[in-house]
Amino acid sequence: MRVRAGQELATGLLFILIGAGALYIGADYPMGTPQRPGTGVLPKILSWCLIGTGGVLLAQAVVLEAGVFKRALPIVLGAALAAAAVAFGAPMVGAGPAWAVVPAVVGFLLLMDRLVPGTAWRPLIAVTLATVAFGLTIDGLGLIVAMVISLTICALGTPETRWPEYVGFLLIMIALAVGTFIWLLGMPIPVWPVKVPDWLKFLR
Amino acid sequence: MELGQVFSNLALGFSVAFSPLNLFWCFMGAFIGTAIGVLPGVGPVATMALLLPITYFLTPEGALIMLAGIYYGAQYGGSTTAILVNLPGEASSVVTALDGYQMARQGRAGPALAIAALGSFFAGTVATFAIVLAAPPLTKLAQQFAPADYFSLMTLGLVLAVVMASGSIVKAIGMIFLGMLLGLIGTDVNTGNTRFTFDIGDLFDGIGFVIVAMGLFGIGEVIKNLGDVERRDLVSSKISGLMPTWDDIKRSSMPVVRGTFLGGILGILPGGGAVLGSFASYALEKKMSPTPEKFGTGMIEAVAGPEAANNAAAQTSFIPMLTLGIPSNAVMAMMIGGMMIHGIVPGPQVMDQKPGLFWGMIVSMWLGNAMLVILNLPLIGIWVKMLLVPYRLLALAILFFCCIGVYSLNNLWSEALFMAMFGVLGYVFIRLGCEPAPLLLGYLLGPLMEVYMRRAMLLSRGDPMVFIERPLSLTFLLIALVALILVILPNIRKTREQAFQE
Repeated sequence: MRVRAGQELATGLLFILIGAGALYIGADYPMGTPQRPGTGVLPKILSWCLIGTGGVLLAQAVVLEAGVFKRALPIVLGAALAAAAVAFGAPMVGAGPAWAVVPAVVGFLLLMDRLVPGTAWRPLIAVTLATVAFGLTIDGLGLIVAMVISLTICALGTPETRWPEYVGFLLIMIALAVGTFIWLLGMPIPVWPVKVPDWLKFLR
Repeated sequence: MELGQVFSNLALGFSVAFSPLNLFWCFMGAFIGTAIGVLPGVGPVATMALLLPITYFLTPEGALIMLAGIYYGAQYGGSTTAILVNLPGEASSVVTALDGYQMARQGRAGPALAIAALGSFFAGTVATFAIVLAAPPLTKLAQQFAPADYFSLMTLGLVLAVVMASGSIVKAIGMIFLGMLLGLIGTDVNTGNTRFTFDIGDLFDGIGFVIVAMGLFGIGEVIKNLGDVERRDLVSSKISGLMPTWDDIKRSSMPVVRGTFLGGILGILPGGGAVLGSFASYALEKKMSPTPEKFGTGMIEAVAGPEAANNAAAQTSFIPMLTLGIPSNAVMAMMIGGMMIHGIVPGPQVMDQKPGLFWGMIVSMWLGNAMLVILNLPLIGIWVKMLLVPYRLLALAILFFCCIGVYSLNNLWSEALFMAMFGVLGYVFIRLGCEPAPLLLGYLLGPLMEVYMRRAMLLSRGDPMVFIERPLSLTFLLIALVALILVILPNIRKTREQAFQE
């Protein structure tokens, strides 16, 4: 029941956060007329529906475990403070207030781990970074570099990785990938590094 | 409809499905499907998401034939491991493991596998004919739908998806709203305004369906499975003799027929599909059996019925997708994604405009089922060996396929980053007990519903009563309402929870 209550609470908060965010962003989308509903109609309806659903989940969580909010409170407060600090602080150093999303997401993950213990942090971080690394390297550094970097990060995500086996598997994967995607299917992807990736352009 | 029409349709289908290249893709689909069905932790939805970008390089017929093959192939593969090693590779074969594994322990794995395969083949054949007969009249009906009717039908589809979802109803409702909201990201086609794009140029066209699907189902599950401790002890039961005895056949023939019927009907319902079919059939067989207490100890009826049901349901769940263009579950959402990659708008017009594609795909399903019987029975040893591939390597392969797949769509590196976000979200949903399938349906149907809502409002000159004044539309909405009320009523909710627990 404790886990169930934690799940309901975290899901409810997630729904409310996203719903409120969408409502805030979509506040000035035009509503149009009944005959020609505008851009803003469905976003507003859906945002309110999402917030309402989140509210029901919060209520369910309290019914399941009366003290569930007490468990959540420190992290919620901390994350809210951090997000507020970033939202006001970021413009001072020339960044947008949207960076407040970062502490909000981290805060939410910490909250989820507190309410539903057992988060697999290591694979979560490794697999996410591996995907991001692939995106950051493929365009410019080519298929092989992207594969080596991203798959190695992914392999770091589990203690079960056996490194000699991994190297062999990586080589087979690279051979298969170049063979199928480049030669057979003719995808327009560079195999070797060709240029500096776009996102690194600001360095020059 | 006349019989002649049926035969000319089938003839067209056969000519398409039997072209060498399409035969090859059908085989590949069935083969890949069986392989992933065998592997626990890799589901058909994730695999179809992985292969969607590759199907871009095939003909539309080849692409859809292969994608369909993956789905029903996975049903077969899932039951193989369920029987042999008590590891249901797919949710739909959980029931098969109950008695199938007990049969294997008694040294009767062979008959269990044979009955499962033959029962599935029978069900697949009947269900394919059901599609052939049901598709043209349903398509005719759908062509008379006004925008308001479509809107209400989609509402009904989403409501039924909630009703059929296992787990919390409230969460499933929220997931649908969230999915619809995500579907709105990008440029509003009617007005040209952008929504929720954060001024990121790559978001102006919206987030691709493949990105969402691969993130939620591919990356998210890799994270989850890497976090679980691996325990896959292979109980290598000897398979001696595939032939079922005469008694086996006699005992399983009626359950197969009943399972086919039950699964076929449940498959058509939005939100239904293979899982529900197999569970319902197990419950039915237990009720019908003179010795219900023996269920769970290796009863062949409990293998035959659910196996037939899950395959029948897998086939008939194509009906709403093919005729109305409405996905009834996450797998059908993938099929629609596959169509859209090739620029085919799913809906009743597909049958008229692309008869070759339509009938070719249906005939290929029957062909694929026949191939699976051949693939599965003699090759069982090979499939079981596949279980030896450790997940630590599988994870690398899946991750790479997701990354290359998403990049190959538009050659946009930023889309890999979006996919990473959906991967984290997918893992969060798993931890929070939220099923991602309703989100995916909402994501697909949300923008469509907006289009139909606008058309309906325009036609009615801004009068929202149009949704309840049209009889068809009203009927759909009433059914949706009744379904929602039924689910919320306490006593029905209890039996529903029981059904999902069993």
